[in-house]
Amino acid sequence: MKDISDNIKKVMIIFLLCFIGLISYITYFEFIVAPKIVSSQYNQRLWDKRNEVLRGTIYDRNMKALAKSTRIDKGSQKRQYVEGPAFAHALGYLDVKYGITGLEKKYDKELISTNVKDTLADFIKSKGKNGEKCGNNLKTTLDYNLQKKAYELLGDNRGAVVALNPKTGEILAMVSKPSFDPNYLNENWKNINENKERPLLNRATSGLYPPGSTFKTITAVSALENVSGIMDKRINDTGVLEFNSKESLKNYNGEALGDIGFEEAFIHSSNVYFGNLGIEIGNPKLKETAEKFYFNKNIPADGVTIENSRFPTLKSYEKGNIAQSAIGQGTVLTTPMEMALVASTIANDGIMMKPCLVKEVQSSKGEVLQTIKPEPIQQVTTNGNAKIIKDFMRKVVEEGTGTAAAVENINVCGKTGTADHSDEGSGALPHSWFIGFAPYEDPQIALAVIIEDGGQGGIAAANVASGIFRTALIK
Amino acid sequence: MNTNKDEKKLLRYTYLLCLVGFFNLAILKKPFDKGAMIMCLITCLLIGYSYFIIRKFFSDGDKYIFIFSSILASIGIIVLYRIETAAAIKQIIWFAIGVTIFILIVVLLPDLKRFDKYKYVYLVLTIILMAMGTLFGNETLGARNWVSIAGLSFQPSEFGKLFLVAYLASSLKDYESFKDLIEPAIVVMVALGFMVLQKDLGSALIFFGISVTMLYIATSKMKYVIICFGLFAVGAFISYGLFDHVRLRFLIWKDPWPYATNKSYQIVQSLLAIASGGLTGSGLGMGYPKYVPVCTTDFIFSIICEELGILMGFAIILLYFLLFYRCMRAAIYAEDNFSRLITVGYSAMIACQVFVIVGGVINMIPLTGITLPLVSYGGSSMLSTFFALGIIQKISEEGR
Amino acid sequence: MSLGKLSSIFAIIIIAIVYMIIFTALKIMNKDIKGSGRRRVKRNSVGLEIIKPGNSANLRKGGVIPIQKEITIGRRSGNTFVLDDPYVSSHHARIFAKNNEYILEDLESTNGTLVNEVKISGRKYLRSGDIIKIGNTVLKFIG
Repeated sequence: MKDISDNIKKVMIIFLLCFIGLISYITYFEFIVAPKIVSSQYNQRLWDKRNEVLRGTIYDRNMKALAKSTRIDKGSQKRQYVEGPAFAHALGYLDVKYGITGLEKKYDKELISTNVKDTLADFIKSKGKNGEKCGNNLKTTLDYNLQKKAYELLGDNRGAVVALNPKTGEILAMVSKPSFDPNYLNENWKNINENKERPLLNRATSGLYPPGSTFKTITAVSALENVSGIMDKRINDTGVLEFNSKESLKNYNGEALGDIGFEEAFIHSSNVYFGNLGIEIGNPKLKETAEKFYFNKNIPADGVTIENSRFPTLKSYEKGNIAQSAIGQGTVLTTPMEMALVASTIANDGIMMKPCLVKEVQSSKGEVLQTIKPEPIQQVTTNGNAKIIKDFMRKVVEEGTGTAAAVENINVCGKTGTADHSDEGSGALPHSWFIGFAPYEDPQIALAVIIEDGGQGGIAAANVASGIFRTALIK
Repeated sequence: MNTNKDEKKLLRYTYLLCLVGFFNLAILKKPFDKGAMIMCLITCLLIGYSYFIIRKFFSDGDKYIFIFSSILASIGIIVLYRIETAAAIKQIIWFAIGVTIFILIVVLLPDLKRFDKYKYVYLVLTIILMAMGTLFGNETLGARNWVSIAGLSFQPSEFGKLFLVAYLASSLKDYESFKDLIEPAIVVMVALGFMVLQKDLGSALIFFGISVTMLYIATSKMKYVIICFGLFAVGAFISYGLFDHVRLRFLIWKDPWPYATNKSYQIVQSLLAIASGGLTGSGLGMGYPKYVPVCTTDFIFSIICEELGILMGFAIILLYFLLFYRCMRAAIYAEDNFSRLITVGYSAMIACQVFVIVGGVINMIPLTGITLPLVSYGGSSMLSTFFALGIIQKISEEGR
Repeated sequence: MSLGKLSSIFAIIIIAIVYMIIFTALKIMNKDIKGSGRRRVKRNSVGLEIIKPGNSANLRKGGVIPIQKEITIGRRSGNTFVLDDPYVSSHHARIFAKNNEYILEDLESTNGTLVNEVKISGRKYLRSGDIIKIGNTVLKFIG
């Protein structure tokens, strides 16, 4: 056995390397893998930790309780959702078996944290005996009455409503239908999960639909920025825009609007005018404007996750598709939240505000611990352009396709949309859209309403919008 | 004699560790758990008295082996006390028996060189012990390597390991050429075969590690090592094809998450426990060992990482390496080949075991049912480890 | 202070102690590695001084035979120190080191080994100045 000590040294080094490998793997695990899996649903210790503290209450903006917890015994609590289905998607739910979703998930940490100062004070008062520890409460931006009204107005239809404060980005209402009752998850889970209409889907933030003519708002902004002399551009609208022998684009019902300019085309929603405009602007520039409105991008938001809306990249010879994209058809897809942000950006002089669902985090005793401040995302278009579109939108409700959205004594602004969609075969009615804001002089609320298979935007969705504006603005 | 001062220093740190650890456990229960402090006292007394005896009788050998072992054992007892007091009490008893065996080996055994003649005795014992599991074994926790005799269960493969090393040492010490390797190679392959049949894949890995290490030390030829790895790859491939329990291990190793509720429950909970601990852990008593299955034996490392953080995990790995280093060092100073090979074999046994279980528990390698030597709860494990350490200590006495 | 915070602090203390142990151990072992070099030098100064060479032709009075680790004494040629003396057995005795002490072991020789005129049986610790008599050869242990 020659060179015994050399051999042994070599073996020791190999084992040392193995052990170092072990240590490195643990380090990698701790810093890269661990953060991802700690909140896994299989981690029951999270539930134990959640249970140690009585979960905080979620309130609406006027301190009306929306979700409350009561303790059953040492090992469990019960969460009560005051209005069940109406707020189900905004608040989310909390269940040992079915996981955590929505706001409950986003602000989970705050709801089970206790304020240190309070705990110390209690500790001293009760001399260390076990009192109930209460988590922090949330004051959301939601308006109880508005949310309930929106839920009611959607009736038996499938669809969504998103209402924002255009100046601050606060989400005043966020409704998705069909919904479910989070108080009875266990009893109804099979139905809820297997229902073809997918009640668990939050259509407001994750439902992707073709926007239809509501997209013309964006096309109009793009025209103002890229087409010189657009304000004076007139065409003869024959009701049809032909690209070649096979493809053409029609107005609703093939209606010919005759000699129209930019404003009339917007007010009466001319597909021919805007289809043409799309080709003139070109896909690159139109896409650029859409992306300024945060299509194809992650929208920063607090308390919600918003699915990315999509605007396609097309080649310059695809005239048919370009025209379709300019009128919000073809492969353009958007969420109701995105369209609400479009309306609110126009209402807010071209500045898009970050949507947020929580106003304040308060301690269980009511002391404000954290205030979420309104935050602009970016200046999407100029003040001047926004004003022009604002005026157009005013006229849409005064004399155009959106008159059903009007409310007495209030200047409502908006744009209708009737979106053809091909998913259920050509027999289904188009989606009914309405986006808008009010009042014109000093916008307090901007919204987007979609009613799946609702038919004309100017009827179903506009009516719902009218009801919402009324509830919001007439006290 | 100034090494004495340093050893005393380490010993004092060990007492301090016990004190702080058990004190922490004591104040967890309201108002104060006297049982924990009694455990502390017993542990410290055991360690101190044993150290004293070792120093008195044979002050030549490597004293750090005992000290490192007792540090690891105390960490084990502290954590076991937190998990389940009954287990901790039993563990202290096993620790005491283990230390007794350790001392007896050092004191009573004559020169180890004399044992090199019993090659075939070791061979037979090895085969018997390995086969015992397959023939009489009861399946527990997915492996068939527990045997009950007169009410007491033990793992014959734990002791089989010891005799395998002895056999390999006596067989390889006269290595001259390739044909001397044929007989031990067959024995090793048979032993590995039994382990795979018993679904004890961890022991199989450890045997392999030990055999390769001893082979390299005996022959100094890298090419044999490479051939062995090649054979291992072939063997692994074949067993993957033949046995579905092997396939299962690989399946839950590659991606444990889809099966988190049934097949990979253990490893998933282990990973979650380690992830929840962070750098310094959630604190003794603040973790949730109830969610980690088999937490007193295989997954004790995960519990330690959850409650004392991964820094503690690193520290334990380092302690094992230091122990391994001292053991291998004894081999350098040994005088004859048999002693050298046995030392290397037993040291590799401990080191491989640590590597296999820690690697398995963090999902770096597929999980296998192995205990963490000295720290995990378990009589067979503790006794066989102390037996091995005793032999190593004896050899270190003879050397220098 | 909540129990949670207290436990975390304890955990940090425990971790610190264990790392202190590791650190101290490393320091000691480092010293040990450096120190073993020094010790070897000390060993070189241990040896057997020849007081009376006896019948061996290869010994001169006053010579010193250094002891590195171990020496064997006997008449047979394999020994470290060959004594060509009829009263010396083929493997007569051995001197080896144990933890800085040296031990003289009589290997069951026919005529025995004397240390300071006392016949020893088995092993005996040697001290500097001890007179060792093997056969007709007299040696003095220097250490």
